[in-house]
Amino acid sequence: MKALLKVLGVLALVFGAFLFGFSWKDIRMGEAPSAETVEKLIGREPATAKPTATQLFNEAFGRIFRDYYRPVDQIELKWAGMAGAMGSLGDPHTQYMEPKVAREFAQDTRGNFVGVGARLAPDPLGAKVATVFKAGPAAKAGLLAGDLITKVDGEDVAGLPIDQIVSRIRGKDGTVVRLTLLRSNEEKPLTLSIRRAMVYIPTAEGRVLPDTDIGLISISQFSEPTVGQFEEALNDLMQQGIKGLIIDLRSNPGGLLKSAVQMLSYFKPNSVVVKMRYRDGTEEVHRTESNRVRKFDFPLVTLVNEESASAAEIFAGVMQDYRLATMVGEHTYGKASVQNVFQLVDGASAKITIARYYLPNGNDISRKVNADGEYVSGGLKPDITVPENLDMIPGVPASDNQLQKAIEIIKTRSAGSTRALLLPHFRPDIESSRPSKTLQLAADA
Amino acid sequence: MKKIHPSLIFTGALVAGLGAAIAGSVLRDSVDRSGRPERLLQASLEPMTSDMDLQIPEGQYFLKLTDLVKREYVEPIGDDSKLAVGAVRGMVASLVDPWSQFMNPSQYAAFLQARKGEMNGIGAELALVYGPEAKKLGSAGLEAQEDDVGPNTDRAALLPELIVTAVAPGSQAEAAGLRPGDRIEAIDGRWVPSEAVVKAWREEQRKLQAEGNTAKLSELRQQIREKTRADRPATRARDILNENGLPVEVEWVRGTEQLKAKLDRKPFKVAPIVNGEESPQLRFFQGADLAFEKALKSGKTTFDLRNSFAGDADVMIRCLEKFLPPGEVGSIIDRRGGKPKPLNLKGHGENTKLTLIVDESTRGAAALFAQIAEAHGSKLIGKLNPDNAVFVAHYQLVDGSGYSIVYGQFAAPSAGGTK
Repeated sequence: MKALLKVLGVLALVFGAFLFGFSWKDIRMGEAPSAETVEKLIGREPATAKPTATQLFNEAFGRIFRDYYRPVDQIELKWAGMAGAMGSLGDPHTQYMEPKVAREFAQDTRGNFVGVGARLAPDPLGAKVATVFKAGPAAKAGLLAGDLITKVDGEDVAGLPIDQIVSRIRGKDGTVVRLTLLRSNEEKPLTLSIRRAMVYIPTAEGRVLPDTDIGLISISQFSEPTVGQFEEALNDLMQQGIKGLIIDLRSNPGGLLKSAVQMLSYFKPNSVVVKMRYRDGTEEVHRTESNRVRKFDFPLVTLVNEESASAAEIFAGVMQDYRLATMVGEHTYGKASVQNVFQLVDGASAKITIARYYLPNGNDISRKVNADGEYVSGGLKPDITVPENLDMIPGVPASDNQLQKAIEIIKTRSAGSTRALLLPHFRPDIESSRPSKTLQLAADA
Repeated sequence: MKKIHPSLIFTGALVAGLGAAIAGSVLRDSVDRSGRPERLLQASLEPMTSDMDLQIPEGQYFLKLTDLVKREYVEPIGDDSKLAVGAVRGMVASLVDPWSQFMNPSQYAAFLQARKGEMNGIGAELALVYGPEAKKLGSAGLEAQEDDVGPNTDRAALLPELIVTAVAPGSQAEAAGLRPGDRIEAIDGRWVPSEAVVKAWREEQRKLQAEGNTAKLSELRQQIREKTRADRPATRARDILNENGLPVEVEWVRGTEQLKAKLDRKPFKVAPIVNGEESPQLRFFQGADLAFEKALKSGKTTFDLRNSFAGDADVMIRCLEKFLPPGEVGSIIDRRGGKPKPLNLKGHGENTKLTLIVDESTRGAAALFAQIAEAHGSKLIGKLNPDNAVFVAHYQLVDGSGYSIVYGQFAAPSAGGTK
């Protein structure tokens, strides 16, 4: 009896050791062996072998790559798959960006690049200079808007796509590019040698509107240099003694939240701009800085339209919530989410919606669309709604009816008593300790 | 029984235990390696390659990306097969091929039904036809066509035309006068945008601008605004026309003609053989082989393959077997330089020569049928578009959606090959 117990004990020990060996992989990972593995051991195929997402992907990728009757570019097929995967979430702001798009996007956000500083438009003879950036290398060398670039470094560029011409003109900092130009009222082609340098894309430009003492600052997007450009424009206009300021945010797709927050700091110190809510329920409050604030003793107006999105909506919305400015134009896009851009190994990026945001008054401005993708509701509602005229040229008061309205508002406000600036009616209830990331409010909406 | 020293028993047990542990671990590894899941997606026609377990770098990349999305996205993602289905959708879309299409669950169900001759909606087959530029724009752009596209993408090139490819005999669509080749212009007064129209507008605007004709320009812009305010993307428009429901008003264009009619949308069945004015119309729906055999036996040798539907290639092969002798009839070739695959018939046909009426609207299985029959002595009346003669495989995905891909075209046997 005792011997039998001993034999049983040894057998149990051996069996236990076997099980231990079998499960070692899982024990190391801190879990029990899956039912699937055990089923396989006893010779049964797992009953519910649901394929993993990766297996599904691999099978389809293999089929299309090998079986499709025309040659398929392996890398492009991969990109298409990734774009489709991210598109499946139904969030237009969660996107895969293949390396080329990712580079362009990053450049847009940085708002700078090495080049000559000009905006070019396609032309049958080469490239037409649309704008020459203020104080850039091209401006210093004497390039003019309207010039036609026919050769780059002696090579003909007629017939090339515009992005190829641009990439030939761009290059390393400090190197020289030689442009051959046709200029109206010059008979012979001109040649300009321009030293390439860091160029800042103008994103905030100010001027005094003709025959008024009203300043206009147009902000085309919120990139890194926008804050500096905005401050410069603001200083310039204040020195000229403006009696009203219009901030044009129409068709501004947004950009960096940080830039918008810094720019709002000129108008309101130490106040809530947005409250972010992440998936885990944590909240993060972004506040304006306390040391940038200026005194504005004249009326302010913001101009918006349906193409004003994300950071532009935050800017206009905060100005409205604190009653700092009158909002004029049409309802905005309604992008109430924050994206983060993640770099991937191959130079591509994943832009992912990581949080939703709420403006100081707590309103949800997120865009609602119907089954056909048409706007139903959402976005900011202007204080004064002015639908744009057909054929208007933005910024030209004679044709721009929204700008006209803005001017009119400033004139009536200035004539009457000075408007009382209301105190903020919203206090943050939570301060977050979340480490600050480079928050990217999507550039395209 | 001799007494065994306890320490010996202990040592023996220890050795046995260790051995068992190692054996268990080794066995586990081999069990894991054997983990080749069963085929999950069934091929309908061709036994296609399937190696889901293969550690392809794209799969690793997909896994990393989806892990990132699952970790960071603002809302929890319950079922990650959704991401894989989306990836398949993107990959298939990037082929920009009217015959290689991703279909959502209801579209895929309709696709399978249509192979039996069971139609829904107005009773017409419709294709999304992309312009030549769409291909150049590549992957990401196409997938995102309805929402937002990359910064340097010409949106117009992403707008396919919605073209009628077949009209069911006896259907609403036929009664209203729709014909293969017609382009759908609007549904219930809502414009279906297409690349050609958008480009024409741009050209017109440029011209008016150059002329300085501001009155006309303003008028044109007003028109464009009206049209684009409430439009119906072609993909959505196709769904509407292929769904059953309330009647819809359809506007379509044939050359320079603008036509319009109110059409009912209801289920409709088309027989594989319909007796036409001169000769029977043959469509490769399920059951076509039997109907075709009967027609052959009754002495019919001329068949009308025009206005065909995509059809079922398996059924088409069985029809060939009714009048061609067994053996190799040619091969399936690709355009990648792959090895031709012999196409074999197993039937007992006696090599009957047929006369087949074809044109641009002879597509899919019908076009292949015509090519193969022609290679074996049958006569074609009319001109076939070889781009429409493709072998298509289709696959279902876990959520009921599916996709089709073209895997080859027909090549006649070379001289000296099969008889």
